Amino acid sequence: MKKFLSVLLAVCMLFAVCVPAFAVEVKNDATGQPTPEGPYQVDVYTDITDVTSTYTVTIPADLGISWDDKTDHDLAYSIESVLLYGAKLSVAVEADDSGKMKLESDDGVTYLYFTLSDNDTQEFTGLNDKGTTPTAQPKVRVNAFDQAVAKYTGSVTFTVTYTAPAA
Amino acid sequence: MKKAISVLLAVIMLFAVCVPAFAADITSGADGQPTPKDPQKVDVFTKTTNEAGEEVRSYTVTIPADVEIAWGNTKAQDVAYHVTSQLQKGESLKVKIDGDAENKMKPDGDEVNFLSYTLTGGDAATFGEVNDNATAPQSPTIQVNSFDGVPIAVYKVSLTYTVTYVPV
Repeated sequence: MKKFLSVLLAVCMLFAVCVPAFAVEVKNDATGQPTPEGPYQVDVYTDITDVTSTYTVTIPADLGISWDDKTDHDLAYSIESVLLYGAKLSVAVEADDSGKMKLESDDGVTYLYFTLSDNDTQEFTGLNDKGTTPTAQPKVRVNAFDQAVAKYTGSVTFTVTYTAPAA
Repeated sequence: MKKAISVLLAVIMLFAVCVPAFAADITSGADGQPTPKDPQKVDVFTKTTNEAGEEVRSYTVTIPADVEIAWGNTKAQDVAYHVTSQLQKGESLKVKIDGDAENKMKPDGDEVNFLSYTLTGGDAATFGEVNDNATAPQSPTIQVNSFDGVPIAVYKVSLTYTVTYVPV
């Protein structure tokens, strides 16, 4: 008897195992009865309702040039991005005040000039791994050091523009 | 046998355990748009040292090796110097020329005979930070006043050029 009961209980336990299953019923709209014919298409799609583009553009803190060094110096920047399809990131690099480098102590009366090259606006789309660089890095060169030895300072402006995908 | 069956059934029960798992969507941004970045400025500046880290200020004062005056030539002779420099802002150089105390040119070993001369434009001249072969504005010259009454010989005098570096 005990053996019989234990086997019976074990069988009951097996029947109690619950396996959730989700399915879509294929119904006939008019009759409400499932239509046995097929095939039926079920769409599978990615939901980007609350997904936004993200990006990081890493630019130099500053650039120091040794006195009398007239060679080109990279003003290197990099980008990391995950952009929505159709979105675009533009990075523009421009020399401020036509490349004038001023001497702070005399309020800019004395100055040098630098030239900025390879600074075409670069565009990025989609996925860019950390450290992605443009096809050409902007370059800075001081053309002449014909003033008193001192710290002359100019600046370059980086402008990042995000263009959202067309609606 | 009973124990084996009971253990087997327990294991089967464990395999049948079903734990539904639900994941949460991670969203960012209140409006779904990335925050636009303001233009960022990067300073480009010159150092006051060269690539080797050495100070770069420099100056060179070029003075005549000697000045020859033909016998009987009482015209002013150029004793000018030239300055080439690139100093730090606010620094300067001063250069002056001095003759001997008596303004006399003498032959070697002869303290009796002499020619008197006039040195002009030897006062200290100040030069700013950047100079490219610049000369003193007063054009230094030396002039033998007269060749009369003395034996013909080589009469000499040494002019002293003094360069003073003036820091900020």
